[in-house]
Amino acid sequence: MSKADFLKQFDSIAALFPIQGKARAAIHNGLDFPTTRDEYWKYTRVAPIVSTDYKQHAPDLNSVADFEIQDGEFKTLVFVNGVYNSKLSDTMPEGVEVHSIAHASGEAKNEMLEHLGAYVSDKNHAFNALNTSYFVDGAFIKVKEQTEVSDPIRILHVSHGEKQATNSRNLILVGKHAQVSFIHQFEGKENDGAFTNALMELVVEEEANASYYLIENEGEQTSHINTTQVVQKRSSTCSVVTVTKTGKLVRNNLNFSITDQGCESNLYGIYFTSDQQHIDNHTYADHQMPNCNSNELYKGVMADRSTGVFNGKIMVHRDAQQTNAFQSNQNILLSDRASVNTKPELEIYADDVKCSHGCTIGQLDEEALFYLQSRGLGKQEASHLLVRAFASEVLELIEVPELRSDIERFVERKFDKVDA
Amino acid sequence: MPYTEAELAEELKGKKYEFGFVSNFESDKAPKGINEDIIRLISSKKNEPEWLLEYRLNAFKQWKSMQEPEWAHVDYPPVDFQDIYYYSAPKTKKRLNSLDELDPELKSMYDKLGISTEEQKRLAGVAVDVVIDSVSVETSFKDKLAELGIIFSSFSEAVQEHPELVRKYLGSVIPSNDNFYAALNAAVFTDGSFCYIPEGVRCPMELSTYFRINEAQTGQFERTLVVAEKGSYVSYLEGCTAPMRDENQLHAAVVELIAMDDAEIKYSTVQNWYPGDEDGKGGIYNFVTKRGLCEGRNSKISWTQVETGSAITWKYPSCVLKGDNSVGEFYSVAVTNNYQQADTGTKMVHIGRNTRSTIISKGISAGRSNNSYRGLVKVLPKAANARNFSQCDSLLLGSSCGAHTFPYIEAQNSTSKIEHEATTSKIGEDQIFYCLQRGIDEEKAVSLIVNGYAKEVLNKLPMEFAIEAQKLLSISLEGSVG
Repeated sequence: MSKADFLKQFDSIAALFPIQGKARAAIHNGLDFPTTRDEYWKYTRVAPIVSTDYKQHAPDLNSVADFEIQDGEFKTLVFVNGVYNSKLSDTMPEGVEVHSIAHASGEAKNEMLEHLGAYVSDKNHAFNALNTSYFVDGAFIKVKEQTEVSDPIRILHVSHGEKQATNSRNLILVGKHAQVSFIHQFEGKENDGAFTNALMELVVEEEANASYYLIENEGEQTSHINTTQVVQKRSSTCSVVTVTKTGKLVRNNLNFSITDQGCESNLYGIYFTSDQQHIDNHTYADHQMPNCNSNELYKGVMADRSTGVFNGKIMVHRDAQQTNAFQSNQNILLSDRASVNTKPELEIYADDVKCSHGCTIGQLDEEALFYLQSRGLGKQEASHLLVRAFASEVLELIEVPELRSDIERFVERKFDKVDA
Repeated sequence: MPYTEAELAEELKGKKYEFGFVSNFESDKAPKGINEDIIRLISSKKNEPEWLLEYRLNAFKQWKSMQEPEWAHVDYPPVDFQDIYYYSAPKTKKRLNSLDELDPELKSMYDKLGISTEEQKRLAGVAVDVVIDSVSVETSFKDKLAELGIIFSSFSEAVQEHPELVRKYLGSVIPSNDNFYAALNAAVFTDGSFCYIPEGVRCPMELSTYFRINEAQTGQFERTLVVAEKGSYVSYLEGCTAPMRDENQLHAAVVELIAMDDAEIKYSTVQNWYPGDEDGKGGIYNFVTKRGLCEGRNSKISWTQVETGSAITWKYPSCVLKGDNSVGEFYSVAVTNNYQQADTGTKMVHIGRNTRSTIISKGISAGRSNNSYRGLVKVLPKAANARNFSQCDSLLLGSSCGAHTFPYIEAQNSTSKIEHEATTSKIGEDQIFYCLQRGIDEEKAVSLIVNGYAKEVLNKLPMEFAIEAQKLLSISLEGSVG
């Protein structure tokens, strides 16, 4: 299928904002979808995604059923096939303003348009441009200055219907001194062959503290491309945890733009793959100013014929003296047909810095397995225990207990069928 | 050979690039530019067999359809490949049997290079092959080596005397269409060294080649081929220098190593091509393809390099670990100062079972230079129990330089273990302070710390080279403190 044919299926979507028209022009002329010849997409083939005839199903509210996180008391915003549903959504706590991107009006709209698309580039990024061109809706969340939100805010995206294609566009502004956490949960129902292209711009103002949990669970037969752009202002803290539960082809681009001094940035993730899954995590920590710290920890377990990809880049600009940037990526291969490609990069132009990256690829420790077996555990049981222990280092960093338990359960179940 | 710091300090006084002299001996040059006629000319001058000419022409054809690689983290104006002399040879009238017959100009150049052959003979340690402007002018100790069945000669001599060996192995590790510069080299290479160690022979001395670019506007394209048969061992050294010139000169070499069952090749390089002046003017473009093939079981190839020269270095000495239990090693120190740019590293491709590789890379950047490590560790599905350890450290001296790491790790086997580690930092203020309060001034302290930092790699060099390398490190970093 040619690019023009692929794009044609979206052209009936009305453009809401001028930026959409611009992006459409760019993507129709010249801007091509990446191939494995592009360094940035070297290990991930997106041709199957961009040569499929997708559908646009009308939102079916019955599809939003059992996506609760056990015991979780969260204020939830619900989006079905990308469209906001106010009936199913909760009222937000004080100090948190929520608008549907498509229906924001008045001052909120002006403010939104000031930020929308200001932090991500469509140039050279065809999937960003695709998102900008054809998004129909999304969440615009504004957390006011000095607001401390105790319970996490949950953004639930449900994709349903076969071959549903959704471009979801979101914007979060966290005001000065505010403290808040978000769970961005992507779920799916009866949606084999679906494709979601999600883009989030998250701006963390001075001295604010934001946590963002990205949970991808749209179904075994779906594709997901996610771009999360974080912008940090002076002395802010931001943690992003990415957990990919299901998805046949998942690509996450997580970019941190650290624009002022005294910031703390945390990038954590787990990718446990089985069958023929392909999960790709690209991260970019862009240190532009001095005295900032970034920590990164990504862990992956690959079974069956699956593939894991990790590419973490730390960029330290000339002015960013006294930067501490640490990155670690650890992988376990459970099968000879599984593979992992990893590329931890450092690009450093300042001298007074401490930067490091470490990367390991290996298997479960035979001695530990033997120890557990000698204590009466079956081999399968023993290896599951070790996999859980391996994951726990990341799981411990999840500060929402209900979410942590939920992901622990996922890890326990994930390799039930796998003969490790 | 004790070498004290006081001596080093004495030597360093006012020391710049010391090999920047030009020797005025007559040379035989082909016209500028590259085309089929030039290739035919080179081939006929060398009196080459038909198959080699074919090989060259074929490579030239492939080269014409290839693009210059742009992925490296280096920046330079495009090279005009038609503005280069592809053939320049010092005029020697006849073949020489002893040093006394040598052109006095040529001989004094050797002396300046510090490889006076007499001295080498006295030390009785190293057999040297000297390559000037891509033509091999002299090989010492040849007879002694021949007694053991070792062939160590210039490439063109080997083509004449052992065409069957050259034909068998030439291009077997690096095919002529491997990359842009390898193809260019395959088309126009003029000379180089050939080394063949027969089965079961342990080469009793270090073999060594000195490369020197002398003529202006010439490119140097030499070709080295080392074959170690079953159970043999050889240690091979390579040194490089060039005169100081305002223009950029091209050096595109190809080195192929082949190790059979139980064989071991140790290949050490001290690269000190002219790096350009303080404003980044002039200097050598060093675009080199080096690859070793561990063909046999239990074979081992070890690369050690000290890279201090060249305006631009683009070089990835690699190991293809094909034989079961084979071992690949890469030890590197790369120093960049002023406007130098280096993009260097290695590739370790694990094909056989129980293959092991080690990568130790130490980058040191000063001035306005950029120093990148780029490496690939690839474990194929059949490489059970493959093991890799990589460590890439970067040291930054000064706030205008850059240090970068681009490691690619691709694993397709669940019994393999791969570890990669990289750090970037500057010299600790506490370390400097410690030296200062012990009465060691800052410049010396930096030199001391840098040498300590690079020790892990320098230790792998044969002794004569290790001393030279230490000196080079200090010279390269001259003036980068404060």
